[in-house]
Amino acid sequence: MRSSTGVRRPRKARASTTSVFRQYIAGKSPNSVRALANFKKICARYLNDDCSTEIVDVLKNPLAAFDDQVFVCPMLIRVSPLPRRIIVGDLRDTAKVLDALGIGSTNDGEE
Amino acid sequence: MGGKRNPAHRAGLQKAPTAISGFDEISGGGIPASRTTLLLGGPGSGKTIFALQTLVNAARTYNEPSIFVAFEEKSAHLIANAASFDWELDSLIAPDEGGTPLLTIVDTRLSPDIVVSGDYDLSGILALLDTYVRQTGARRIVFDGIDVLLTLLDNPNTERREIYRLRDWLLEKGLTAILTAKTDDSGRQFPSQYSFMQFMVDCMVVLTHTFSDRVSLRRMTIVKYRGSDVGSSEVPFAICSSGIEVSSPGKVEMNYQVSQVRISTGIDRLNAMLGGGFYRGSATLLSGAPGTGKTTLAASFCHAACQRQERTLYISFDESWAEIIRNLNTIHVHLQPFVASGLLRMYSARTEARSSDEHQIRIEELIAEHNPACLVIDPLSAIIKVGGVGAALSVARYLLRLAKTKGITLIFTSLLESTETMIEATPLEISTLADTWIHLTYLVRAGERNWGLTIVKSRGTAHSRQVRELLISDQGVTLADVYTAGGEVLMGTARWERERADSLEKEKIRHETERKRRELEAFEAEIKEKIDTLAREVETRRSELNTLLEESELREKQWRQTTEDITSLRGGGAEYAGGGKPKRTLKRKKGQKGGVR
Repeated sequence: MRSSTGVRRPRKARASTTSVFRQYIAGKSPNSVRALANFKKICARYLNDDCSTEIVDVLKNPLAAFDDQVFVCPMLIRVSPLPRRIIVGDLRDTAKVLDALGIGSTNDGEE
Repeated sequence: MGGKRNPAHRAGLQKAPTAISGFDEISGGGIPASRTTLLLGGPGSGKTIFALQTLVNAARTYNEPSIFVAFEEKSAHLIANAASFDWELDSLIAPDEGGTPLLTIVDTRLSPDIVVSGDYDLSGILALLDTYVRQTGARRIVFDGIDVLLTLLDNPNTERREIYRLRDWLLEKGLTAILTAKTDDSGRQFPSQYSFMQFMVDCMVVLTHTFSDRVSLRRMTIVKYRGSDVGSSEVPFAICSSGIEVSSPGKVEMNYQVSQVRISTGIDRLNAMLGGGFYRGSATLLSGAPGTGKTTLAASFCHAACQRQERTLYISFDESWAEIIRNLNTIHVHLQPFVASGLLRMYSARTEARSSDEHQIRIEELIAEHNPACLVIDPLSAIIKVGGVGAALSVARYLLRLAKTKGITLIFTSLLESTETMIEATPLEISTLADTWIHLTYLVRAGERNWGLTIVKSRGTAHSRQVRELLISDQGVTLADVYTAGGEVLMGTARWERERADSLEKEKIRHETERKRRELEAFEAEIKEKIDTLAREVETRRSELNTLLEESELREKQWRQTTEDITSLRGGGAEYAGGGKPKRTLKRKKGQKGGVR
């Protein structure tokens, strides 16, 4: 149903360790652009790129955002593993993101 | 009507009617169309109801689709709460034919465990709403609980930026919008961090909900209305089965039709005292202590109105109307047939059950439903018991004005309880608004308690200033003369007593004079009788004397004849005869004299 645009990493068969994310953005708005870049960094740095992210542009596909109650953008949702996590903002506060995702900020120094 | 009633057209500002009873009147036509209205109020002040009702009314009245964006409440909760009103939200949200919904509720409640990291904006919801607006053709939109959203934005700059983004979006779409935001309980203090919103919106309405004497008071104030001359006084409103009902204070200018027609009070003598009855469309105050016959008088008026086939509304407080009808039956005032035919609407309410505002709004509702020509509120002073004197007075004032504007002939009763000065003052205040004031009192006379009726004032009427006795019997209600009170307003038993003593004294003197006159008349008659009797005696005696005189003359004649005869028989002797004659003449003269007398 949900057709995503700007998909960078198509969904693959998920390994148990693979995290699945859905990232909602609003076109090329500064916040959205920053959010994409920030999350890319976090993925690479803290998740070993072992994540599958579906990127949805609410301007192009507004109804897609309905089920996830996306009314502020940008928004990052961790679909799996559970519990589901919702993080809004341009993700510039890395510590908060990691905390929400259950990745201790102590990892910061280690990895 | 005309240009005056809707200044919006003059100013080129379009208004979108809310169809909320009373609001469109106080706002001069509704909220500004294609612009934004900010609705502020404390928790439970009725913001959500007002906003949702505006949309429901737009759908029902104008078939206008709209969107409700709920930031605070879940849409399921919202729908459940709205079920207590007669809005039938379901049929608007999901039309039977599967057509376009007239109302779309967008549930945008933020999950409490949402994590914020960095800057974000409202583009998500606006993109979604864009789609809804396109799909449904919505003309109106509500953002309920914008403060929740602002709290999340967490940063004054972001707040401002996003609110302006929202405003720009609304302007671009040309939507008529209502934003609701919570304030503190009083509703007066708008959180300073959101003060910029006041400059952003075209109209700002504040709702408050306070308690006075343990009775809830709801008030609405239009604090700001760009391009519109709107009175900014607080107006009461209530939340009823149809939603919010705002009490419209009506036009400031008093211009209503004035009738010259007199209508019966239901009591012939009272009509006569008032120069024909009450003026149609006038307001009459019936005051008096408990049990002085206020209800009876009011009901007689109702009865007369119904007999003229006029629609009548009888509102009683703290007495069930069934009881009133039963009690009146005993004095031959039968209201039941009129209730049955629908001509008379009787409504009873417990005063404590509602605030004075709610009573006022309920009365307004009843007037709108029944459309009466005559209205009785018995007693209006009952409203004082709830919500305090100040509030009750404004309610009384309002109802009087409403009746005037609608040309309804109003009778309202008021208890006078001298022990409570505050309450006593109220009818006096009300009385300045009433056209006619009839005061009922007890009147103790000859060891029995009677009802006295005084017309204290009656505008435009050369009314009788005498006190009458109100006779309530199984034959109905009539008035009887009491006594002249010198045109003064009579108050209290003492006054009555004195008046009564004066009256008795006068009566005594009158009786005394009458008696004396009769005595004299009788004496005169007696004297006359005596004179008549004496005169008759005189007459009798005179006639007796005359008879005697005639007899003696006759006898003299006979004697003289005899003497002459003898003389002639003896032949001559004239000197002899002459000598004897004078002797006898003298004797006769003496006798004649006594006889005449």
